[in-house]
Amino acid sequence: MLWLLLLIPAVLVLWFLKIRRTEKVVSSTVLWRRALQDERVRSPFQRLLKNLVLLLQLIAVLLAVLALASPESGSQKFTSRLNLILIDTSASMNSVESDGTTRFELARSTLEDVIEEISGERGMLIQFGSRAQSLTPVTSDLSLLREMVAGLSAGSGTSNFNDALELALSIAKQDAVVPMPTSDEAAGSEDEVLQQQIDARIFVVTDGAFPKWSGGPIPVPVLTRSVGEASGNSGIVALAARREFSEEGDLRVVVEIRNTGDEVISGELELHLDGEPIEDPQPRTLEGGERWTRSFSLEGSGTHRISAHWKPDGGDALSLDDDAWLIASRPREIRVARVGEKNILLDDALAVIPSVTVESLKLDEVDPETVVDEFDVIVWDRVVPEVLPPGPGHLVIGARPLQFWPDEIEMVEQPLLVAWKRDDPVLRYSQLGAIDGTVLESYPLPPGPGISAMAQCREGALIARFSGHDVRGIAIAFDVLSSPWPLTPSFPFFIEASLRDLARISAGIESGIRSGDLIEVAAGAGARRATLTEPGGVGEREVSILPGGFLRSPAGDELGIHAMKWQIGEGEAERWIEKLVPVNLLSPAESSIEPKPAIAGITGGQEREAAGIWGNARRELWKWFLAAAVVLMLMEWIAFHRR
Amino acid sequence: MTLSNGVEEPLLDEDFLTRCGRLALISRKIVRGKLRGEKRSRRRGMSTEFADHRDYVAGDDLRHLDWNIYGRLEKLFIKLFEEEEERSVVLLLDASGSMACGEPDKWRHARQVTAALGAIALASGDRVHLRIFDQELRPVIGSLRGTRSILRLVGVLEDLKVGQGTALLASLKAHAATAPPRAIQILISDLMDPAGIEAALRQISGTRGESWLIHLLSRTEQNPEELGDLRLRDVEDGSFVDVSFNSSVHEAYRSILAKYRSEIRQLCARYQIQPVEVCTDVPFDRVVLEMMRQRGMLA
Repeated sequence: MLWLLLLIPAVLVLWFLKIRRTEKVVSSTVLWRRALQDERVRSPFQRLLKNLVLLLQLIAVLLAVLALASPESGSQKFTSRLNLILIDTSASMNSVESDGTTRFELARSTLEDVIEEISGERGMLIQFGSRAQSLTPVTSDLSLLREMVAGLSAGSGTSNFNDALELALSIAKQDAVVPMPTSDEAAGSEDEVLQQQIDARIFVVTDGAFPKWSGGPIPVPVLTRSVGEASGNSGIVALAARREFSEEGDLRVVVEIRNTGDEVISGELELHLDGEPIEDPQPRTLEGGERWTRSFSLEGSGTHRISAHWKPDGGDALSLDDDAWLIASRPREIRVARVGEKNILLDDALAVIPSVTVESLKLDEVDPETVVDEFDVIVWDRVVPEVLPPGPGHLVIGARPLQFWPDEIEMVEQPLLVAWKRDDPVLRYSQLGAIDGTVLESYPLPPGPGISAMAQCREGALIARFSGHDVRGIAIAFDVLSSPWPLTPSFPFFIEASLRDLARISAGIESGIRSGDLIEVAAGAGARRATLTEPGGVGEREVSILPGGFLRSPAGDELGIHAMKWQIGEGEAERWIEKLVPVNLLSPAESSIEPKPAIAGITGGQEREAAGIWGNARRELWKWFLAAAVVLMLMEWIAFHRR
Repeated sequence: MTLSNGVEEPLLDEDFLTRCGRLALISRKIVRGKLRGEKRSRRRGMSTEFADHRDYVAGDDLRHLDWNIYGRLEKLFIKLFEEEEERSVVLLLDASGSMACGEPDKWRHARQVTAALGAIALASGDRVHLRIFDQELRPVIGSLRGTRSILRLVGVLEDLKVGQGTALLASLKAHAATAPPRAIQILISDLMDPAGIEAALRQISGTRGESWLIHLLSRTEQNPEELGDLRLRDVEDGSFVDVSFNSSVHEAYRSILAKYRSEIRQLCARYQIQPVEVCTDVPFDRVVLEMMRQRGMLA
């Protein structure tokens, strides 16, 4: 808010614009000039004081800006306890109770009771749904909390309780006060007196449908106000697909349904492909806590919308988890140039990867001018040019790109693998145990700018990413034929993942994100305008195009398929490209709606009597600043009209 | 001042002119004219009023021998008489643009004082030189003598208009070059010259005659009452100064004005000039008949 201080120069400008001087002819200005000079010399502040109106305006603006900045003061006073109220707005709070009210309506009523209970103390409201955020500042004005509660509703995301609790603890620690010794305590040791005390409580209004607290001990009391009674629910907790290794690229789709309650639930599973039923509804009866996994295959290429709908007999308490969506699209073929001598094992690995066309070239056949348009990835097998051509991705096997590692590297025999990045998309399905101490010899790649090790031995990287000067790729620092790796299944997985990563072409499966997560699309530099449409074609909103042609926007609360569209080309070449992103709940924790009376893993501090303590309490001063600003404006008005 | 019929009121009325006949400018020093006049001079000469004796030398007019002394002392002495000589009065009137500013009307007041002093001088037999200046010395009228010239002097002053800027030093330098010797020089001015006044006042130094200064300021110049934000524009050079009036500014102005007047008084003392500080609030006849008489300038 302090940026509003820029208003002060604005007031000065307006002031000087406002002065309209009447002209008066005098016999000479000599004496007046001397008088004004003399006045300035006598008192530098006189100029400001004589412009009383301006002075009052400036002070009033300053006070108003300070009021907007919500100032607080530390003063020796009797402070009231701080109550941090955490309200669960996750999907499970949409559960319908037996009397027809939703769980969130019960929570709202409980919140009002809590606010009534903390009357005379300070409070702050924090929500935790798809993300944790504070809804109000710390305030003694509890009507502000009531207003906020009245406008609150449950979302469709998962609970971020841990984030909310960390936020609350952070605020509670900031509110810690240094108590002053009372006459009785004066005899105590200084250390005791100066020890900080947190006079705060945390209220959690929730149904407890979230993972347990994994943080450390909590120094303040945590009072859980559990809401809801219903526990019978069943829903879809997983929907995934994988393209099978076949020429046609058939899809294997898996759906998992779970009965999270204790009662037996019967229902039907409906599966749709682009809105059309794939098969007859599948009836199923689930015992309490039973899981049912249903898998099926789909043929064909192109983009498909796959949806699963679980229809419990007579409905259930939470409907948000009865639907799930999936987008499967046929990925474009990856054009690969393999440069080097014949390598049967590498060729076999390339041959089993679907949607890949491979062309074998010799080193002198590579034309750097045309290679950009002809290939997505170049696999350099034991040969590499001095300069890698910009454009396509490079997978360099058993050779050293001199652009990134110009110095000679000492060979190491049978290097031992010390670490590899399991979370790297390329290594996600590859077990690198096959190269641990089995490679006959390697030239470990040293670190440097633009280089990131993916698999490391003690001397350097065995596999590394490199990027810079429009060139990027993955380098394997040994001849794969000198290791047993090509004989293991992880090798073709690694090659496929490397090719997809370097070609920037995904497998074409969008299994979905959750409400509140970020939808990210690499639209490319040609994108001109982009929009995001929520499920059902409603709520279309503009999306700003970030440098590099990236589109980012958080998914809304509405579950279903979101459509990110962007425009490319101009005139007759203008067209729209669409990327579909399913937003699902798919959370066993949220589907498990049985209320939990206490939050697992929390051992809060002892609750004290609400007596308050003497200390450096913080008081909100904005009202005083605002009142002073109003008084000054009144004085300014009087002064202006009396001049 | 303008009458209801649109005709400007005369600078001097008949009553004042009548009273002028009984007054004369008093010079504290002996001044010498070219002709025998009505003013007493320390220059011993041929008149009826005895002044002193001196020894007879051959060639002296025997008619002036004091035979009484010769009878008593048997020594020849010549009787000396005070010679009555004509006296010059130079009226230096500032007609710069600044003289037309201020309330009450400074320009009319200045012309009235000039006319009054001129009338008194003419009525008492002095030769009067009227010299007008603004950016330079303006030729207006030659020297005047005798009571018959009073009306002419007043007529000239009534028709006089103010000029533009002020060049006090240049004008008074030009005057000094042609000033009659041992004359009474009377400067009527507001002394509003951005170039300064010291060198200018030196030109009318009273070392060789008599010099008076009528320093004229209007009431609004002495005690400004303006309020609010004003742009004060100099009537002569068009320059301006922005002033936001309040008590502090008024106080500063009064302080500077007091310093300025004090400086003028010091300069007058240095150059033997008799200053008279006049505000246009005070009617011209009171200036002449009371203030100047009280200072021994008129009798």
